[in-house]
Amino acid sequence: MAVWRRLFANPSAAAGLVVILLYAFAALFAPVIAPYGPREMVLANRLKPPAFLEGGSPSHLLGTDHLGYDIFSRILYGARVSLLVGLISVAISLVIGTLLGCIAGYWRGWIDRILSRIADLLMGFPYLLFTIFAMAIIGPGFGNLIIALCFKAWVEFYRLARGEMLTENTKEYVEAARALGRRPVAIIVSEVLPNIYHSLLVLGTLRMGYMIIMEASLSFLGLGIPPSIPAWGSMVSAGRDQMLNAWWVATMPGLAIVGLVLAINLFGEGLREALDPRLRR
Amino acid sequence: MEKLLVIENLSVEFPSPRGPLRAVDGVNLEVRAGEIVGLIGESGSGKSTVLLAVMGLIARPGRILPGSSVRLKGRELTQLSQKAYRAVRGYEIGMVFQDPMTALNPSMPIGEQVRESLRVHRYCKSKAEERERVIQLLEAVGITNAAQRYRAYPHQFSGGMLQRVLIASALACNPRLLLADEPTTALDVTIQAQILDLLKEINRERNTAILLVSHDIGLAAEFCDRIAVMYAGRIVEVGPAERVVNDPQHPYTRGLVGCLPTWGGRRGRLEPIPGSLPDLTRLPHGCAFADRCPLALPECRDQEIPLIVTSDGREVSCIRTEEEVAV
Amino acid sequence: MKAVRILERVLTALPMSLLMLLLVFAFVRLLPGDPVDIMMGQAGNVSQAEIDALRRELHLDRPLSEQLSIFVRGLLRGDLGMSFREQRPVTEIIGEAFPATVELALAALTFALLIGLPIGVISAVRRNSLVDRLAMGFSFLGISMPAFWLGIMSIMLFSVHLGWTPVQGRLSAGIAPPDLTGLYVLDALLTRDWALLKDALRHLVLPAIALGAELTAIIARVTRSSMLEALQMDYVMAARSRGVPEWQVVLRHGLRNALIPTVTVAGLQLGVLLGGNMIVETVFGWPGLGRLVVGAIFGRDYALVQGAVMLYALTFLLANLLVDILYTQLNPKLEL
Repeated sequence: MAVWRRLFANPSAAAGLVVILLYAFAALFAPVIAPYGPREMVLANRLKPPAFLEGGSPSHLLGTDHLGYDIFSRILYGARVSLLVGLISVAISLVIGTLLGCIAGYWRGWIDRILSRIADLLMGFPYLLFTIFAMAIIGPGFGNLIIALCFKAWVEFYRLARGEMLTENTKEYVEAARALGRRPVAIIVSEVLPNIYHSLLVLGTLRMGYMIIMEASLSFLGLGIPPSIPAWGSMVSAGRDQMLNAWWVATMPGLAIVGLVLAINLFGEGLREALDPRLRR
Repeated sequence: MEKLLVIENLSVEFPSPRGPLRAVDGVNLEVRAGEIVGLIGESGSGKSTVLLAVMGLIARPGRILPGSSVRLKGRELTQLSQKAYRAVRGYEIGMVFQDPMTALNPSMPIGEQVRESLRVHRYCKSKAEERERVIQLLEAVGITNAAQRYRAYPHQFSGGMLQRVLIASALACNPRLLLADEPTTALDVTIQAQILDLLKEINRERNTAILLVSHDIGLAAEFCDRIAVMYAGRIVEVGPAERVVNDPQHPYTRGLVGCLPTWGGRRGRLEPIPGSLPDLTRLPHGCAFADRCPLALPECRDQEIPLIVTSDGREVSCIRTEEEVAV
Repeated sequence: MKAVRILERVLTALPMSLLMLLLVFAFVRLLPGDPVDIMMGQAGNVSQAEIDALRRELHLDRPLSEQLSIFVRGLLRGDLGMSFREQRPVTEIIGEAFPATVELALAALTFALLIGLPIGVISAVRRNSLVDRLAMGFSFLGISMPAFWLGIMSIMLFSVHLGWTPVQGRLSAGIAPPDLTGLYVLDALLTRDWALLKDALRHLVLPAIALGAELTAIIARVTRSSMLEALQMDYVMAARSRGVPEWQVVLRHGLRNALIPTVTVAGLQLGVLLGGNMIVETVFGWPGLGRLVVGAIFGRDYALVQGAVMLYALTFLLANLLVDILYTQLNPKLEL
């Protein structure tokens, strides 16, 4: 497809994709690559600096934290959390938002009014506040975190899908399909959706980085992933107490976050530019 | 009459993926004080580019080629610094654009926009005087209630009114020369006539010379003193308006005139000119019109075509000028 | 009439706010964990009588509908109840914390505009130059960095390592702010207390940057793209043809129209500013509403959570309203 060619002609987008794949690889094969287990405490090696600093050793590439955990290993394991949470919550929000948006945009009427009111109401709260609140109510846990994140995130996709559906509704091919007596579901899925999925995909990619930062922020605050599972956010939080004497404990997990999100954003931007001529029909 | 604007051997080039594109090629043109000259050609003939070149508004990476000369009252413009050029723009030369809906800033009151060149060139002694002058100008171009309308925004006006505003803003510092780039093309036919009348009035009362660019040779015939016809970046015929239209010498001009619908059905059909503009990145050495010309000879394509001066004071770049040829 | 339209907008916002209040009330009740148990658990050995007494005091023994009416009546009186944990009126607590949050949010917004707008304009004017590429590269970085990490990094660098700024809080110990607006920088300027000003600014700088970094990046990018579009417009060419100097063309014609999309997007990001508040306040120990809310939620301090979240949501609504009004001022084509 011409789209792929355009995408890869863009160096930063291509680089972004490569980095994303690297992270995915690391996450997938963490148990194999990581020199230590995620909860392997070596108390004798507490607060050791990274290998490239004085006092460090190659056995702990990025140093250890106050409990003797190997930071590098935990970063690899943490990639699983971030990638999974990011991917799944975006996927769910996208599906729900698109579904509801298409329904609202196609049928209009009372269902549109109700859904849009709910959307407006949800948008009335700042995202983080809402998510913290939701987490506090339903409690910590992987599944709960995803639910909390999706609770408000679907609105963006809803609005986009609805807007696109409204535009497409007036176009001739939809009229034609209706005149042919095709069922609404069939029209939406096989006629309209193939034309609008690009912008939704781009939005999804761009939001994924945001979701990952949200997840990290929540685990930073201690809400979200149970502390036994390594997550980048909680690692940074733990490193906060070591600011004075072991700066790497907080820095390294943060760099992991920045690296992944930056790659996702670069890739998403490249995707948007590559798909643009199609979007501007 | 003194020569106000002298364009000599003007060539403008723009880089393009297929090589440098010559939009204007060796154009010679004069505008005398108080004269109305029409520059006529189809889209892509380079006529608007000529205007931009005179104003020094050719945007990078386009450039005016060395050897070109644009002289205003004897003063060479092409060598001017940006700062010096800015003193000319709006003060000695004014410009009117094609689409008044987009040529005016939608978030600025129209009075402010008319006032702009007054402000920038310090034409008046005080802000109050500037405002007074703006109101006078607006009234002069036919905007009623000018004092109240000063603070109105462009979206509150119709196309015709906006074009008047644009003209007012170009005339603010009473320039000797007005460049008009298809000023009526975006307007309704009835409004077109009004705007042209306005311009004619301005030309008469203030002795402002006008260089009008248009694709409509019929319009030019009525409005202009002299007409220059452009094709593929080159001038092919120049002369008094009435002569050029009633007795066109260059085959292209003949074609253009032949495209005109006429009352009374004197000519049975509209005769379009077959073919299209040549590739401007690969301009031929000889006549650029040769491929579409019904009178073309082999020599037309090979040699550089000289400008032939006819007996009635025209310049035509065709080697078959003034031959007895049945059309 | 513009004033009427503004009033209209405010009035339509009211039912939304009421609905939000209701939601907050309901959600707070949904928080698991009995506040009394949590509190008492910390106090150690307590008798059942004391537990019951506390329950009665906090109206927890009444049915929900009655709790709601007590709440609403209190709201109308301006009484938001007592904070369980601090034994102080909620209004007092959030009254102290609110100015701190406002100051931080304003500082972040100022920073974002002061840095983001010029960068966007320059990048557009010098398109594809080194400046442009660097600026856009940095903006990508800006939206990829979590605020809490940026905060911690800047503390480590500027406070711990370089010692330029303090580590936590709004003011150093021993400095007493005047009791004016609660916005210390403003108060310092009003009373010409330069020592206070310096101290307050030193404390404000890092949190403001941490909070504002993402918004700066967004503003820079949007300004750049809308400037690029504006500079293509015919009216820009027309202004040049009048001899207007280029910087005026860029600002009076370009930026003036480019600001409209910028304001829209920046306005949409207000929610981020208000939400991100919580993280940044926690990291920097900033005594604002955000940090309060986080603590209150953890501590199941019903009344405090209610009051604080309500204030949050209302501020958010108000901010959005202000952005709407600003937008119509900039775009003369719209009349609200």
